[in-house]
Amino acid sequence: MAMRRRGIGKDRGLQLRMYFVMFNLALVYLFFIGAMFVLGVDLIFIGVIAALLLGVQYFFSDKLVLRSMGAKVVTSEDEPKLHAMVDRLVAQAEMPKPQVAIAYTDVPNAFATGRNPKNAVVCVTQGIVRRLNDKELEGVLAHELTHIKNRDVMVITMASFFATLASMLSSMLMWMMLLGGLSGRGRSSGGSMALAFLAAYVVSLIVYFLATLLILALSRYREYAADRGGALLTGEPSQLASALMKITGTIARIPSEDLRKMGTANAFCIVASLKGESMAGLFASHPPVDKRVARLRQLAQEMER
Amino acid sequence: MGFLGSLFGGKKAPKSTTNALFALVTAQVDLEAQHGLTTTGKAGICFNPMESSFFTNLESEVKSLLAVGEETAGTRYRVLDDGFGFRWVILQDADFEDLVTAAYLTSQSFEEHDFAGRLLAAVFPFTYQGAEVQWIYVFKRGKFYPFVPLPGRQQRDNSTELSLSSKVEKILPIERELERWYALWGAPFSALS
Repeated sequence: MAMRRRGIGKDRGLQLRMYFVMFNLALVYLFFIGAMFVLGVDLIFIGVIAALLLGVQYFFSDKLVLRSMGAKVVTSEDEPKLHAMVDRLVAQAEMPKPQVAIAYTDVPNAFATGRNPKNAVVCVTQGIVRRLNDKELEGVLAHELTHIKNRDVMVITMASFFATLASMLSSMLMWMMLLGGLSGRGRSSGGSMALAFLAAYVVSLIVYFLATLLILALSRYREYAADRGGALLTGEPSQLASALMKITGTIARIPSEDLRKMGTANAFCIVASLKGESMAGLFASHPPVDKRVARLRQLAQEMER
Repeated sequence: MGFLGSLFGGKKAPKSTTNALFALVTAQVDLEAQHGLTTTGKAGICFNPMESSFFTNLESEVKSLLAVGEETAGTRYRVLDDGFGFRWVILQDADFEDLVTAAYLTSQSFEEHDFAGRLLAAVFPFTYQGAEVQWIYVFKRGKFYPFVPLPGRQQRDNSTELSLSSKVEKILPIERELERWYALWGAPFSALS
């Protein structure tokens, strides 16, 4: 047992699992490229399109995500307390300060995005600020800053390149087969070509499916890593744990909007509960909260020693 | 009422949603004796007024309403507007049962005039460990939920709310869908002192 001394820095097990997933992803992608080569499908053209698509997404990730969340970048005059927290954390983490944004929704959430630490933004929703106390909010911010420091946007974008390509290819092949079948030309001129199309279609679907599963696994490991890094940054794993429980547990379901603002009719419709459900879908790329909390507790114990 | 009951036009009249208000009277005894919640002797009924003589004459309506009953004769009341375009009837009575009766009678008169749909909520403020705890009754749901506003910014103490609701869920019809536990900031109870 004494051999397994590990410092409070990296989590070796987590790193190993992350490499394992990346290795498998590479295998799946190599298989995909090989199969397409054998089947005679030219990946260059569609590859360029996929690269452009992901490139735009990657380059403008900060602005795109802010826009889609309805978030606004705030200055230190607007939100002095939030900025002061971020200032302290980035100084400690020795990283450039990202932009700070607030999303005006009562759904408790936070995210970080941006193509590199210099062009990053960390965003919290009004709902999370209302529900958490300062210590807990600091834990959440440290988690998001760790995502930026680990360059998770880049990692996930790169990991999903061939998955995007495969999904684009499969839908393209499906249309080609449908249209080809309708015009009836496929039968006489190239039965073997139609077969190759079908094979390529099936392969790209399988590749897309496997790659998505692996990317989700990778994303969950990145979450654990960000939990760990964030908790080490603040030195208080329990605060992040309690924040996680607050924003995903029963408490998260209680709104802080005023009953009168909901209007007499609106207060009784199901918009609020629908909101909660769509968030659950987003969380699919995250590990279950009880597991994250358990790991944070474990980290707290490690720090005791 | 069961399925057969409704098929044959059951003889039991459907429960009026205002009836559930009285469950608070029973619950209050428990709340005070076992959990240390004391009534402030006040209640508020919040509604969305319309252009109708019922709403313009509401003050005298409430006055005559409360004068009729023996137990509600001593109940004090005020009618006032809030910043949300909603109107409140604030009631005050040291006897909690009389207070709930007054709230019930007021909401009943809305129903009699076919304005039940304009009723939003009845609010009953309590004192709990020095802090304010409100029980909010939403008329359309016929359910109660606790609301614990924290002093200062518009924040509420969700954990106290959850623990309070679990304490009385056996005696009080509690709103099960937490998504509907909307806040009700700044109820104008200070209008009566």
